[in-house]
Amino acid sequence: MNFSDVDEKTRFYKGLSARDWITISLVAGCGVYSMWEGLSLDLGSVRRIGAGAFPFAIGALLSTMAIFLGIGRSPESTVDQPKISLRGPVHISAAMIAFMILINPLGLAPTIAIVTILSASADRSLKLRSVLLLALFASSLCTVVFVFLLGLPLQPFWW
Amino acid sequence: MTIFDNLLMGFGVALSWEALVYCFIGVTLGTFIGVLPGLGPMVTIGMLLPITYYLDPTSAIIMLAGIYYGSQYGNSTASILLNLPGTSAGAVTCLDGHPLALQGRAGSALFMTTIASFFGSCFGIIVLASLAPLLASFALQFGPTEYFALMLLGLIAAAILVRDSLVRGLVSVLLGLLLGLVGTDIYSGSPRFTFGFLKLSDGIGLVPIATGVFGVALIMANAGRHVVNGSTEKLGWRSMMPGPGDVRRSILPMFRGASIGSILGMLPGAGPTISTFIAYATEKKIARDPSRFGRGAIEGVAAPEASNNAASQTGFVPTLTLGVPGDPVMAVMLGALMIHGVPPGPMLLVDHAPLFWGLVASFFIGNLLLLILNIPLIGLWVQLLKVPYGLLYPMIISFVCIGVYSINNSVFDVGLVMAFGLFGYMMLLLSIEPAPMLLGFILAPMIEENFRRSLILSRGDFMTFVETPISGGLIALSALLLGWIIVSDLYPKKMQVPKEDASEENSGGQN
Repeated sequence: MNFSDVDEKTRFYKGLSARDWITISLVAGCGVYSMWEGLSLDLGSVRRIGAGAFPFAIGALLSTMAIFLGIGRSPESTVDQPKISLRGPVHISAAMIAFMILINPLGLAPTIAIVTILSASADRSLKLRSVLLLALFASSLCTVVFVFLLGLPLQPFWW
Repeated sequence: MTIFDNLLMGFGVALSWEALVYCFIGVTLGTFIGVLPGLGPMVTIGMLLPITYYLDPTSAIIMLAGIYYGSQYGNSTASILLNLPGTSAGAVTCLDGHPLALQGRAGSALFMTTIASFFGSCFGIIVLASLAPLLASFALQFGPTEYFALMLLGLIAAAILVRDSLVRGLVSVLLGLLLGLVGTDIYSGSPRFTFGFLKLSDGIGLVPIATGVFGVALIMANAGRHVVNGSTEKLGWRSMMPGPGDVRRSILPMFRGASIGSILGMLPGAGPTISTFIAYATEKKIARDPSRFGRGAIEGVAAPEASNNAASQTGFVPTLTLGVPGDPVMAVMLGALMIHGVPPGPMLLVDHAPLFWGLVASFFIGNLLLLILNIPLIGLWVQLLKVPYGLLYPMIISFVCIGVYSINNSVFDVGLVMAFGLFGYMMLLLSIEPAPMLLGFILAPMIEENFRRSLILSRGDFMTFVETPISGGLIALSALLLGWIIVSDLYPKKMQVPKEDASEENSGGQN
């Protein structure tokens, strides 16, 4: 970050972006929640520190950091913000959820094919044919490597 | 026994047929994943961890270590050719490596990075072999206060690693500490942050967090985006020949880089990434003509590469002798050792001498293999960069699912990986660096245990942390480091850190 480019004004809270506010509230939220969790446990004494002391202390520090985030200069104003795209997260999550649901009833080979298809569909530049070929390749590769070569205790198919 | 006897014994172990095979698999895989942008050693080691359960501990750790330092070699390839760093340590290599490639000198840049990497590694291994036994005997005097102070220093160093903002670095460390507290409190047995999940009462596993935040999160961010691919340059033997003066100009920078890397690698929290930045800044500062940097100065490639490879070797010093991992990858390796019933710590060198010296000897062999893999076979690795990302990441997701699932045969763990993938993606959007978080997560249980134990032993007297010279010194060093960063943050002109602008130059790398 090149500090000389930063407008003096952006060093203070007037220059905070929406994303900064989200960061601050999430950090403060985590901090307050963990202080509360700490208080609900035993704080203990200095001689014998209880289970709640560390959560409380870390929560307090996090809340302090939230304040510093608010008054400090914001890197958002100078650094390129990564663009938000929901396509990747949604498809990848769907693929992993599919793995969780299917691995036991269906077995490894069909599950991997489905996981591959779901995650590959995040990339619009891939043609259907190459996605299907990739799924076939991935599921046979995983079955051969993990089940037959490495002998992991996984069922290749449901029967 | 002298160090030579020990090394001789080590080569006896490392030259066994089995060790050689696993060393070869490790370094090849390491180069492979190092070359591919977006798949770091962390994710790979996490995925392979369940497989190593079936190996004996020496082979397992030799292979995992090979992946780690092998990836430091492969790293530079994508950085130089495409301006896409495979890991965070590669970002510095982009600064001068990519301009060299644009000038048509990619071959000699790759040759020099390989030589610098090899030199740095050998330097680091020698430091490791000579210092580890000393530190181990020193570490026997470590009590809970010393361990606490050392880890505190590590956490502060890790927070500083985020060069944009100290506050964000600290936020990251603190979030990691919180995650590390999830589970059952060891002193009272009360569950903390378990949200009613019985599965969380053992704490969160390192592998789900690491693969989620480092692997899945990046895939979520990059899937469906057009990722720059393909390099048209042909790399043959002839183009690999270093240009006039390249070797001569690189010798001293390599030496300085390796020294910086060796020292910083041993500090917990610093690791390869921070040492490359410091090595680069040092070269720039002492150069006669600093303006050459950023436009293809060979010193700007040689010094950081020597430095990160040296650091990745000396990083084993605190990991093996103190049991305090310097960076997340080291922590996974510690986990692998403990699974095999080899407790890291000062006694490792005595109780498991063949393992330790075998590992050190395997580093020499692995680096020789890497030299062979990287110089004649560079063309092969360059071809790898042409595989479209869209075909790669679905496979990576499948491997991650299988790898994490088979650790405990638990779909809950796969769910955790997904949750941490989303969490990591959010951190990416909010510009919070994940590496300090992971270090915080790893050190949290140890730091809490040692802090509480210190106070029990001293009957609540906080002076115990500054009474002994070692822990007092470490605490003073942490305070100094923090103070220095705060001061340079308030008076920013003094600290200008090199910063690449990768986004603009990617388009240039395409044609």
